Amino acid sequence: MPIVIAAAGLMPGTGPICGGGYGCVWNVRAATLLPEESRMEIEMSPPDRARFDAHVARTDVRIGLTGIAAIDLLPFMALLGTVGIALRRLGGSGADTLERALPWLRRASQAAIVWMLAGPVHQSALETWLSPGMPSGFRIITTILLAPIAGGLLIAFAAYAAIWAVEAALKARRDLDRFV
Amino acid sequence: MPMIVQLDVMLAKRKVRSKQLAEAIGITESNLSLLKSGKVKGVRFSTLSAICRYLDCQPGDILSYETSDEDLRPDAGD
Repeated sequence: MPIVIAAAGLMPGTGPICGGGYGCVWNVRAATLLPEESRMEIEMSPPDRARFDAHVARTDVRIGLTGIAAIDLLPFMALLGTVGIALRRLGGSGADTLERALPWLRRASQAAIVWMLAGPVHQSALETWLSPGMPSGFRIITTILLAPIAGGLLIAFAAYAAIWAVEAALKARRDLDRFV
Repeated sequence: MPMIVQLDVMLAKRKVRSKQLAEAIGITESNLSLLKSGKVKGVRFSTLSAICRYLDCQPGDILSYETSDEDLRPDAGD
């Protein structure tokens, strides 16, 4: 995952382009990091595109992009890690596998919530950081679109609530087990 | 929660063995052992009734309480 974060910063906007009978090639286009409207604005003017590419090529900008990529990828990394540990605990031996897995599932749901909330922060930071290379110059951009994150956020909250309820039920059962 | 379980004393008085009592009231010997050592969170009324019935005694013969100010806290013992 650190490699992915570093790659996202060092080669911003890298992605495969396939088709046309030429197979797949990796194309580095930093403009793809921008929203459609801003991207079109840059793509249509060669001087603006050259200015933007020159801005993105700067070392300090790329280091900044690495940090911004971490905003999105670190919670995702935490989510993958915690789900992995939870599955490992669930697959383990012993009578208390669920009890040992639940705290990790709870952390996974928390990581999912953070990941969902990090989306708009990441996008806003990215656009603000790249804005000096855009025709309009530097400006602080806040991109908070609830629609793309609402579904994921609700599922993450539902998962957290369900895990909390199961944990509470298991605790109650443990307490009752100590009654003779 | 200084609740003292005096089941051992009652068993000795009635000359009843733990295994015999456990079988009679339908709980495991390990649970009865936990009860005798006071390492349980609570005793069901049904268990207490069965013990009292079998040993022909009152709950006060099995349980006694030692005064402690900590018991005035609602979450004491949790």
